[in-house]
Amino acid sequence: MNLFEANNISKRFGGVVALIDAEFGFSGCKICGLVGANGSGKTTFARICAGLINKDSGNFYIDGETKDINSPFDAEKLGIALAHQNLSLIPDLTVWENICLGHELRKGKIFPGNKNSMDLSIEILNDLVPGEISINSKISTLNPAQKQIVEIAKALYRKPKLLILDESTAALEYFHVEKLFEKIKQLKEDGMSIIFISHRLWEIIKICDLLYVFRNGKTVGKIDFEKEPRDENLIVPLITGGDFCGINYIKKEKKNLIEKNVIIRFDEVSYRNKLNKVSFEIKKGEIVGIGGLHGQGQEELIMALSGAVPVESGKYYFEGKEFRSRHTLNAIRKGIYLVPGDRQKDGLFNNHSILRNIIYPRFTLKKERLFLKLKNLYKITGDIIKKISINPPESEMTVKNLSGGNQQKVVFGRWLQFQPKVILLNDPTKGVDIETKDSLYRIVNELSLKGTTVILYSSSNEEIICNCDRVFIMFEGKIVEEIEHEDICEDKLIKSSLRVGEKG
Amino acid sequence: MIARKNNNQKILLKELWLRVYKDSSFPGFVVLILLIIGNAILQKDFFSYNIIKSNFMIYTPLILASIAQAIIIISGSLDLSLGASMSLFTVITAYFMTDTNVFPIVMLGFAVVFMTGALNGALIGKLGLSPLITTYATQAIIIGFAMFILPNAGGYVPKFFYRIYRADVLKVIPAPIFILIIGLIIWFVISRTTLYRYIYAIGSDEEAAYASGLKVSNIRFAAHLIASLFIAIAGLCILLSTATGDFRSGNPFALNSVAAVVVGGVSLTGGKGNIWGAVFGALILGLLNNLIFFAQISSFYQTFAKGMIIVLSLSMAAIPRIFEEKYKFGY
Repeated sequence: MNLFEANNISKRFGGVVALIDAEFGFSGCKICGLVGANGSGKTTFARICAGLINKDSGNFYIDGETKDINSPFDAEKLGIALAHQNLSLIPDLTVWENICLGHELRKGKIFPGNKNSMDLSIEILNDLVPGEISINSKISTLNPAQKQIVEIAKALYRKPKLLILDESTAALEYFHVEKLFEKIKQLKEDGMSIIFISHRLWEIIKICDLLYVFRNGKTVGKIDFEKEPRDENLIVPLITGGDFCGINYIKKEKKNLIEKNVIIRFDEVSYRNKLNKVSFEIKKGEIVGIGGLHGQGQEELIMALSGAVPVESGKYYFEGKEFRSRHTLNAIRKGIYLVPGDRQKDGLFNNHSILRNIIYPRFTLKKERLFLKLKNLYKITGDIIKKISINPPESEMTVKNLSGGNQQKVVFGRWLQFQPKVILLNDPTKGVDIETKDSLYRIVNELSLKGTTVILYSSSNEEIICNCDRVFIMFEGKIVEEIEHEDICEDKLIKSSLRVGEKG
Repeated sequence: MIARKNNNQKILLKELWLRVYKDSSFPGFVVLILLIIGNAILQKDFFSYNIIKSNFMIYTPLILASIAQAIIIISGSLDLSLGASMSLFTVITAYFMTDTNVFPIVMLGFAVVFMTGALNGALIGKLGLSPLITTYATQAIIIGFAMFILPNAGGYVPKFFYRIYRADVLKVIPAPIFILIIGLIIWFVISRTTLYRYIYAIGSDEEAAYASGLKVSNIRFAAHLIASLFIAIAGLCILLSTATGDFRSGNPFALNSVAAVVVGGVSLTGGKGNIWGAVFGALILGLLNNLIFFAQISSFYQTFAKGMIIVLSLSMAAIPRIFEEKYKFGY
């Protein structure tokens, strides 16, 4: 592809702005990097280029003409192939069937020349990982790294002019990445352009000719490595915004923990390949943040803590005793409460009233007898509504009709009627306005002063900085760094998350 | 040298066994074998030529209907109107048929069934309506239409025509089995096409299929059309075996075909399972009736026993899954 330009691309999802006037462009066969924090619109941009999402406004200027990309078929005609981050593979088909899906080499008109497609698939796959993946195994039997490689092979099979790799390296091992880079460089020589999306700065620096930085859906920087030095310290300020280490959020004061009791202890806990021998101790009344790039095992850690997934190896101690759980019920009865990340799916009974949503946990905890004392329940609900100021303050309001922030308040508020020992917050402020955010964290802090342990995973560094006593940085299923209260700052968090200074 | 060869053969056999064992239709196959053994014990001449022939005269329509249902379910859809389409086939053909126009009228029947398939395919594939309710509604439409043509069972089927079903091909293959073999050959040809693979793809993960550049709605439409071919052949079998047109004749096939397909290990969520499962499932349901009849179970308990055995065979399919998916949570 000789010229690719995307001008003023904007996209909203409901009320959330994903991209606003994003710019992107290059000429000639280049490897063009794209970085940005979580939620900066990288994946949205990639999906728009591949025709999976329709942009709201803006235009593409490709090889001298304005082009419209409205469906995957348009993208295909233009020679754009995307290696998806969340995978476009069919779990019930085999590896080679997936690689050539929709583009089988044909012998006649209807019947596929299976052997030819298969040979070509094997060739492409072997170029990436010689002899590691059996061509006839079903996708559902592969591990995430293998799936990702098949995904890349699938994109390459389409012989694109522009290949978009959307965080394809995130699941890969170091030597696979090396191998992929060799291949990419060779493809560039052969006349393919590549958009390379990654969180790992060392990869960007190593391979890219050109780099775009997105922040909050806008293009905030363009670095041409032919003119400028390949330096991580040039890129990080663009990603974070503001000067390097110049931002200081108002941190809460360091708390003197009244009790030194350890409430939760993990001893080399593993789960699938998502958690890898995680060990830590958390004291009573502490607020612990979990940081790191997206999808490094944070959600699984929260799930393991909440008892929703059993630990596969290692031990989980709660209040000094070993805690084995196959069901969240066990954890809830012990006083470990979860505020899930996806409130629509895991947190709320959407078609029920606030009252019902709030009183359901009472049944789990056997606080109610056969007949409900409605008066009492209304009072409890009223108190909670007042305490966290749900708007409108009507117990009978259907949760579906509340705004996102108020819904989150309901999810959170339902646990306030009990005395929580541990509260697990999985990205509690996703799509929540500032006011709600403040009141939520005010309550969290109050709770922690009363001795509740809080474990917070948030995609926003600001919240972690402002609220946490301690931060664990996770990377590939391990806690790679522990930051104490006085050291928590944006700069430190980002550097640790991106593993600046460490390769592979 | 010989030892090594044996070893290789062992490995090959083991792989083959694993493939068979892991196949989704395997539990159905086991149940089928058990049923055949049971039948053979209860009915002395179970394996005799005449019994096999008369059994297949009954089973062939259900097997064909189950193949059609399997194709539709694998594509991520469902067809409750399949029985109604079969009835419509018998009604249309029996209504128009005379001694001289047999072949064109049969073709007309095929065309009509294709139209019902196209209707379902258009509503479900193109408009994206819910298959369950849509086909429930189209079923009512089709039955209504059939009632309008022939309010009472009747019509005319020439004797030379319906006797075909009782004849033998090459003097050894009973006609119903021959029709079944033709059906399986058609399926075999279809299963070699890319379209067939696309049907699995859209059933397994629609979004991923779309992202891979497949035209999901067209493929689902095509799945309904392909299934129509088998539905029409099944309708033809019914017509030949009953020699009348009756808008009720296809009724039991709608749910029985779904039951057969599921017993045969095809997943209702789509994308999983194969045609062999449908064939096994249909045979299981057929042999089940046979078994219950010959076991001389009081008619009071027949329905009960049938239900119990279906539940049992379904549970057999679920047991390996329980061991595989240890954890119910979405991780």
